[in-house]
Amino acid sequence: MSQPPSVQRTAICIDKVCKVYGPPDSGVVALHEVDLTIYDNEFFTLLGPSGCGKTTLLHLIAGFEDVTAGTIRLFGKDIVSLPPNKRPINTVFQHYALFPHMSVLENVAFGLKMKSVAADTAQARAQEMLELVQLQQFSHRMPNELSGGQQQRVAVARALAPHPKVLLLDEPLSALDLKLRQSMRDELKRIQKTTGITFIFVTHDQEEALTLSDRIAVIESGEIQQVAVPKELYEAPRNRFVAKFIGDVNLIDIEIDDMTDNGLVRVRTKSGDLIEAVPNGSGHKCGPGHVAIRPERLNVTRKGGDGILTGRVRELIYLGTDTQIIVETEGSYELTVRVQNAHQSHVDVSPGDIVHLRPDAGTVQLLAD
Amino acid sequence: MMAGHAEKLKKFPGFLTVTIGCLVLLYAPMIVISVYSFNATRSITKWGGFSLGWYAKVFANPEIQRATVNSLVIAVSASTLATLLALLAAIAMVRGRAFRGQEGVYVLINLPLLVPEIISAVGSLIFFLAIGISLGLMTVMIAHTIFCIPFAYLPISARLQGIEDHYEQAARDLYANAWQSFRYVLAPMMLPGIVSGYMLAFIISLDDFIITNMVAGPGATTLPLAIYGMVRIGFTPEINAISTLMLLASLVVVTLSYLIGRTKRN
Repeated sequence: MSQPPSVQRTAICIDKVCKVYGPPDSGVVALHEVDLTIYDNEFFTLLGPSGCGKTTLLHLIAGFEDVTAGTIRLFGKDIVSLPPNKRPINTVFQHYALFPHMSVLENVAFGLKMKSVAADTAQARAQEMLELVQLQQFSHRMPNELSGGQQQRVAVARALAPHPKVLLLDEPLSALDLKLRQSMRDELKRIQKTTGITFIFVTHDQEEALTLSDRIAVIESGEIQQVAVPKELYEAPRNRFVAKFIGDVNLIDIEIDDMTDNGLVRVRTKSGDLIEAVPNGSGHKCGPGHVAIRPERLNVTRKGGDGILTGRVRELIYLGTDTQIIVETEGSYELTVRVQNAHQSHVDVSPGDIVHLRPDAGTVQLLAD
Repeated sequence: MMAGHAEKLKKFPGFLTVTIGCLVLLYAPMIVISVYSFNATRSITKWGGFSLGWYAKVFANPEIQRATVNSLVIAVSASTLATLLALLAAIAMVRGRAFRGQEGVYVLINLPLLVPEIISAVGSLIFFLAIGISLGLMTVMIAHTIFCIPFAYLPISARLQGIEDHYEQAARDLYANAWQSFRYVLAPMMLPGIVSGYMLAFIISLDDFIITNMVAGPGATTLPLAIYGMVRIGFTPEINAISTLMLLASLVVVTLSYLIGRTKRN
């Protein structure tokens, strides 16, 4: 399911990496055996709530911290024993970490200077990078004379100047305000396409992850929950955590009934409705489980019947482009339905009405837990 | 009503009087000394007109010249050494891994601030005699270096604590080795703290009397010792002139140290 868009070279291979803070047997486990493959030229995102281990993983790749066990390979070469200055990987820090005593140009040229690149070549290359982030006219300013967004772009230029094989970005947009964040998003995507460098992007913002990434790894409690392209992550979440973390979702307790002829699984809700769900490939036994349905995948219909959920409208919430309908079912669980207001005819229900809800075919996802 | 209450709470009766009393006690002697250094007559209590004569005398006095050179040599070398040691200690304490007994080491570094100076002085003297170093410029330098360390350490470690380790991470990430990361990133960022600490150590060494008096051998007379010697012989406005000059030097260095120490702490 989580194949890359095309056959590509592996940029980074993370193999059974563990990170424990404190003594190995009694310390705090930040990462349990993590396996991850990131391809060349990919915009890859590590997504998860704060404290899930995503920044730890980034620090292990950059070399700021040592792995407790496991290996990290960069284009096939084991890099775990190398200090950060020996790894052809650069980082864009959350709070930029621009050197305050150096001009913008000196900041951008710093990595090249440390790599003993000739001064004039370094200057030219730094200037080129500043053009890439559209800050060429600011090269002689000091960092504290720039706005937050400009500082962020300098940080990107500085990290790109030494031609790293992989660029790490540690929540680079979190310190910016909303408008700026959106324009920086486009900017980052453009820079990644122009340079062709592999980007590993850390964020807790699911919308940011969905709009930017080629693939996303969802991390929680130091474990990878799912690795997939954005569409698959949203439409076919593997477990309850992923389903809830990405977008709004209806999670329904069900009993697995049996398989159908077309490869779907027939499940029964607590109110006795039978619906068909897409299995997630990890093999299901009969018994209790959960399915996920996105609110916009439920359609209000007049008739009940097979494959249809039934309940009573409790509340209508007007959201501008959409209307949200909260439906209470007999199984005492709630369903949220989202109807686009362009299709106004479908929303002529009022609180107290009995409604029938038909999920779009193939959008009920059976979860692994 | 409420406003009246708030006013009352903010008022401390007699506060102004006490403040003025303290200020007079602190600064009146210095003002008197400075004013009489410009006295045209020999008296240090009766004003006899303005003159720079005593200053001219000070600059021409060979004993004072020698003492000034000694004081500067000692202050420069002791504060340089003390700053260097304090810098290393600060990096180890602030950036190094936490270790057992770290608090104890902190106390040890700052101990000279707490120990009564006369005890340090006697201790140093006994120590130098015990290991057989003859008293001279060298012994003063060593003793000054030791008690200057905490004065250099405090501003340096305060500055270092204010610098997040992201900057060093960024430097290492951009291919700097440990030394380059210190040389190009950490040291320039710490510079105000280092200069501030250096100046503080310098002035502490320049002004010290008690320890110097104990461990200075022949030929190691510093300015404070020279002034003390002159006072014992007889008080003339020449002493006022030297004192005023030293006061001025201290004031300038301490002010600079303060101003530099607080720059760029944004």
